[in-house]
Amino acid sequence: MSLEIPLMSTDEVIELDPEQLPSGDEVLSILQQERSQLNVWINVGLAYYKQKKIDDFLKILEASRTEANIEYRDFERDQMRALDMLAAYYVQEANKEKLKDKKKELFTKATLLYTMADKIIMYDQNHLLGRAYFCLLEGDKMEQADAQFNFVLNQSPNNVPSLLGKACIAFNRKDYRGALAFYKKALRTNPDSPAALRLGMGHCFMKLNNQEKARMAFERALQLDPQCVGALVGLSILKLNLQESESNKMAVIMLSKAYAIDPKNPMVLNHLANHFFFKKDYSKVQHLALHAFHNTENEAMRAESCHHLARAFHAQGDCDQAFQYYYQATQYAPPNFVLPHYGLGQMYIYRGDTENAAQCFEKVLKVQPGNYETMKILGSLYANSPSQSKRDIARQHLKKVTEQFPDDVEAWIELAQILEQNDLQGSLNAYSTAMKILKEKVNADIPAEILNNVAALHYRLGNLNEAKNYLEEALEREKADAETLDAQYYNSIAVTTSYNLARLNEALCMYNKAEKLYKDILKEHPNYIDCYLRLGCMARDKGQIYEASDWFKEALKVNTEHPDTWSLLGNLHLAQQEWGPGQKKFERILQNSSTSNDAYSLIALGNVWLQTLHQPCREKDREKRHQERALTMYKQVLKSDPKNIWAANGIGCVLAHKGCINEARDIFAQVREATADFPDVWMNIAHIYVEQKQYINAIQMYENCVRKFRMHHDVEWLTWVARAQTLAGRAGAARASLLRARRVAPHDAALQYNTALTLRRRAAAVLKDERSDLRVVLRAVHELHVSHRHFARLGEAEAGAAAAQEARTCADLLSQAQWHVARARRQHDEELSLRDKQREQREAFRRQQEEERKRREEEQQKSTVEMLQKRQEYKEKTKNALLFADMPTENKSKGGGRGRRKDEYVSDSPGSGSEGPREDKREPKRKRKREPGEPRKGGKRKSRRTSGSDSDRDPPKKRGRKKGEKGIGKREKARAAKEADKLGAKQRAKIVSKETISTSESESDTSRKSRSRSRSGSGSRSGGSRSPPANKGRKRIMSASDSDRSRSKSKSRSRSRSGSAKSRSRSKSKSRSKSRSRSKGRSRSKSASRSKSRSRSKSRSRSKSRSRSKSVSRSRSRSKSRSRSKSKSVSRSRSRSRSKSGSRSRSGSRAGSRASRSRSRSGSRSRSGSRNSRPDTPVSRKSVSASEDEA
Amino acid sequence: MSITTLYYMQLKKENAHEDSIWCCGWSNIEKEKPKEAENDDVDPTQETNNEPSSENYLITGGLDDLIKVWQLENGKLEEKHQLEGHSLGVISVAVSPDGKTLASSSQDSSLILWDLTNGEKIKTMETGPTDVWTLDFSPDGKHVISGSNAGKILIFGVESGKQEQTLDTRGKFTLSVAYSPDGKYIASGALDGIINIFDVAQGKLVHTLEGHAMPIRSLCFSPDSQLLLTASDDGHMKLYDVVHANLAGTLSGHASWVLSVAFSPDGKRFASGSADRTVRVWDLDSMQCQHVFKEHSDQVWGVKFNAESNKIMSVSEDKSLNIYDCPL
Repeated sequence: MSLEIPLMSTDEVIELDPEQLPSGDEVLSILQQERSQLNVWINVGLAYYKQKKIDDFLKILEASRTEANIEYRDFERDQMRALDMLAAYYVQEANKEKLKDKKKELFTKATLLYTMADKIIMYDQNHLLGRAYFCLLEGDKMEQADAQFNFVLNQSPNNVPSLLGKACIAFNRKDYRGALAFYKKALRTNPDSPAALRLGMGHCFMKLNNQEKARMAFERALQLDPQCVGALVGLSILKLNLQESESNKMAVIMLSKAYAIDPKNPMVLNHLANHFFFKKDYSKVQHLALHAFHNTENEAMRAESCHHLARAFHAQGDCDQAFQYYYQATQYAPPNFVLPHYGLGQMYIYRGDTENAAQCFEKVLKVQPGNYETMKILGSLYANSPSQSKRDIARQHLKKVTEQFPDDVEAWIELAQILEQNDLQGSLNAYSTAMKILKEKVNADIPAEILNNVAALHYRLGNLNEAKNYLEEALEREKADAETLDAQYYNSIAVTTSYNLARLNEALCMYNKAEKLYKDILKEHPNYIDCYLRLGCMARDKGQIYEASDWFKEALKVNTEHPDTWSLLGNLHLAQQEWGPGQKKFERILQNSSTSNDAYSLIALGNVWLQTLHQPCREKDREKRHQERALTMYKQVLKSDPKNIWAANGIGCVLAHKGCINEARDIFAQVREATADFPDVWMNIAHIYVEQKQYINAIQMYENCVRKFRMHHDVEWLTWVARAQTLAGRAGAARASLLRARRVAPHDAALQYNTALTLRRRAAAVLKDERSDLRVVLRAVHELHVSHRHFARLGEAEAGAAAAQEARTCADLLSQAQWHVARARRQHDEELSLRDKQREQREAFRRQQEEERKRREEEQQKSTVEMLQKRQEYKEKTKNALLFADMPTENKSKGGGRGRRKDEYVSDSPGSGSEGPREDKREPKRKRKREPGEPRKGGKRKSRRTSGSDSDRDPPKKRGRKKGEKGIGKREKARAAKEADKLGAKQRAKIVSKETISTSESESDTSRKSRSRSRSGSGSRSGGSRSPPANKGRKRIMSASDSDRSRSKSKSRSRSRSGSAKSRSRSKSKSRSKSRSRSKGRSRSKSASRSKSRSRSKSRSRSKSRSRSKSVSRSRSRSKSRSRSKSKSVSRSRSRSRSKSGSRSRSGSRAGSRASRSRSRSGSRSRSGSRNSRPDTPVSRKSVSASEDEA
Repeated sequence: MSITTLYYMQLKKENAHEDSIWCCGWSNIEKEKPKEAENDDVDPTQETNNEPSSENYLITGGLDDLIKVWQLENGKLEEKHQLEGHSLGVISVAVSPDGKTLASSSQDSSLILWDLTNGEKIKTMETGPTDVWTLDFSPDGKHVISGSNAGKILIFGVESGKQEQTLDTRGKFTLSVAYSPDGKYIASGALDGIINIFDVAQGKLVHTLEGHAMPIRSLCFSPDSQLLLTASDDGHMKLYDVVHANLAGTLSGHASWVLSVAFSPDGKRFASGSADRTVRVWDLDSMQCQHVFKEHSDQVWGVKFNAESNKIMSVSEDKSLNIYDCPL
């Protein structure tokens, strides 16, 4: 068909061959000259357009607008066509245009033209369609376009362009089925529709996951249009998704074909880039991705290009560039394209910015909640986080990973490492799973680091022998590895392992081996500070204080600021009662900025203040000040660590000191709930029970505690038990407890005193009891002799005034004892004789009865005989007269029963009256005690004793700050006890002046008090017993003794009255001393236990720091390796997400992951090793403390 | 050296006393001949192996103030005597070399001699104002030595029943004493870990050993009198060469105080009892622990070998008396 341009004047036409158009200008001039009608212009322009002579087309159309002849019918329709055509052209151009400015310009032109067209005919179908597509292309006017398509479709339901438009809209709205329906409708109306339609259908099928149909659609599109880039790409993606090498090749071929057809198609470029990435041809990747990036406006595309670029750089190790591109990619990426975040996260890890890295990975995980690689990375990121909650998250992630992929050794190891912190058994299980996998599936040797870690776990769980096996295996492996692999690295691990082995030997009590190992380590690594510390601790546990001090000073030479060294030194000082120097050591730790919040030091200082509370002769305000100081220390600790039980315990102690017994008890109860492995709390609770006079509970508590913590030979604890038993009135049990203690520490003067006191008291009680039989009395007298001897000897020593006093009391008692023995003997004899007599009496009575009965019988017989005779006589006299019955026989039997009853009464009478007098006696005794000043002496002794005990305890404090707290707790208890006593005393004072005095004394020396009470009690009892006899008017000896006693009583009374204030003050001071002793004892024991727990916590923290310092290089290497492995993994994930084609990537990633695993393992190992070492120190502390306790 | 001997517990007598058992002894009285037996801390060299002709007594004493004499026959333990007379807990028992006499001490500072065969009290020693602690017989059976307060070692004459001599260490409380089997030396261990060795003939202090820093609760000589074994609260035991006072070895393994040590009469082994509740048997040549008995539930106060060196008895705070078989 040819174009005809009618000539104006004639009917002739100029015919133009559409295939061979003359130049545009020529035709234009013809058109202008001939004033051709518009439709002619349009046809000509179209012809030019079809010939791709765009310039001519444009010229003609532009000219047509002004110069064409529009004076004919229906010119408007042609006008419309011209305008629409031009506009459509501009829109098309704009769509192709990459430059935003030009694009905008073109769009504006199109808009103008359309607006003009609007004015001519608004509802022309073609116009509307054009507009709709324009809206569609402009991007944000989807709604408008949809409305216009709908309008057109209403008019002509089979309008193909509008159907296609609708399909496009539906596709964009992700309504793929709808889109497919529109495409199908269009296809039905126009079966010869172009390839693009098939392409669209293919995309829909892809989205609907119907791969087969998608493939068919793409293939059909290619048949229709072999140049269809979209179809090529679609097909190649499908092939890639098949993940077979053959199809992959085909896909690549197709992609290259597409590239040849359209070298600027970003999709093709990106896919090719992806392909080349796996081929490791990174320069091509960069080239292609860069092209793709510059050839698209689409942000998702750009994100992908950036991602490819970043990946390429990442793989090449250019992390800065990679970081930039990853970052750019994340900026462009739509929310569900998370791979760039993954890469960015890796970059952050590389840069050491774990926080941002974690955020990135969190984003990834949000989109793909089950992605195990991400979870793994997040897990390991959070595993090192200082926040507990994050570590929990890490644990959850890793657990999920191990559930999903039970063969992932790396994840198991990571999980084990996290669990090390709070779930030893779980960690061990994880490690053993990892080891099993390593052995069975990977067939690899288990690395020494893991062996070491497993050993450390066993060690912490108490499976010492297993730990030893693992450690020895680890050492062998390290030796082997050091020869074949990295000698330096494995030798350094070997040092850690041998240190662990040394610690283990220590725990197994193989001190010789441990010492040798430590010294061997020091030979090669003279800076291994923990070895010095352990050696020092071992020396300290052996009691070699100076040697210990030397070792610690060696450690100080290595590192002058090492807090552990200083605290150990401080503890040594405290153990020696050198408060000042000890305090300075701990203050030094706090002065160091890096350890300014060291909980251990704070608690130790708090304990020192508590300790001062027990020093005698303090003014009240100073005491208060020290209480406050101790309190602030503990509070500071609690501020930074609200779960610190030692601080809580310390506060409980201070409270007890202040007299807030109930509050203190609550605190102790809470502490014990938190942990049952802390004997000081048990002790404190028991002490509180004592203060509350719940002696039975207290005794139970003490005994449970002793049993649980195996403190059987701890003299102090035994003393407390004895005290509680005395207070509970179980003198026999108290005696046994004290004897046990004395078996262990025969030299302990306080113990001797207490034992003697208990003996005397018991003896006095026995003597006083008039019912006690001879054997018991003799025994009591013997014990009294022993007691006297002890007191006499104590009296010779310094501070023996109290003892001397006691000795005198004993002597008194002994002198009385003679009488008691005599009494008992007499009683014994009397009893015997009485028994004999009774027996005789009974015999006699029986005989009498017998006789009587006989007599009666005789009488009866007689009477009957008489009666018979009389009757006979009577009968004979009055035959057939009256008959009589006889009654008297029964009365006689009743009389016999009475006699027996009387006997019973006699036997009962001796026992009845004894109890009343005892209580009376007790009070007087108390008074006496006050007077003689025995309590004072006792107090002094106690204080001494306590100090001795303190020294023992102190070491524990050093070891464990906790110990110090414990000590405090004890002290507090003691104080509380004192206070309570005081209060009680005051109240009593109101009631009975004498009683108050006695109570105050008792308060001052709780243990002694109790004893003193018992003494007084015994004295009073004896007195009482004596006095009652006196009243009764028995022997004079008794009365004499009574007078003595009464004198002493009176004296005591007078003193107390005259200087009641003084006496009270004295009593207070005494009470303090007592409290000290208690507190000290407690503090020691407590401190020991505390030290254990603390040491653990410390060990963790330390371990962290160590691991850093030691393995800085390692950790870095780790991160690198991880990042690499990650990159590989990333590639996997990408391939997956896009197209399942990741098989290649997987294999690569696996290899990578293995490498990373081994690295990570090593890292982890080193960590664990370091951790162990730290725990070791704590352990050592523990052991030390334990030994101290024992000491 | 690998020793495959089988150690096992032959017998356990629960609640042998009503309260903690603090000391034990093993007496072997051979009939017809002048016989010896081990005593508390010194094990005189004895080569006898004629069980049928000898009587075997086990002696235990404890907190309940009683001393019980047991007879081991056919694997059964029968209580033969119950000796009453102490108070405040029996601290130590020592059997005379001939096995017939028993010396015992208690916390009330009494020292009593008993006839083991009939269970009668022979005499009560006059101890004066001082404490009496652990005891040992001299190898000739004529003296009993005891530790005491203020670092003194008291020597009592068995015949006289009186304190005949005093050795003064000028140290702290003497917790443990031992008479060497050859009769030449007396060793004592003090509260502060100092060990003193006296020459008996000269009555002089010959060595002071400062290897320990914590209380020495038990020590004993080897049967040949060449070695002195010490047990301390630091959990260690040490072996000293008596003549030169050289340290021959340190043994560690107990997790707590070592309360008692005893050499086997054949001199090849020794046993130790500890507050960690274990009894350990050690080989002298290798200085290694051969076996650990964990049969007690509380601290082990005493261990003792029998005359044949094939049995060990141990007593504990848990009131039980154990007998272990230790084949040679």
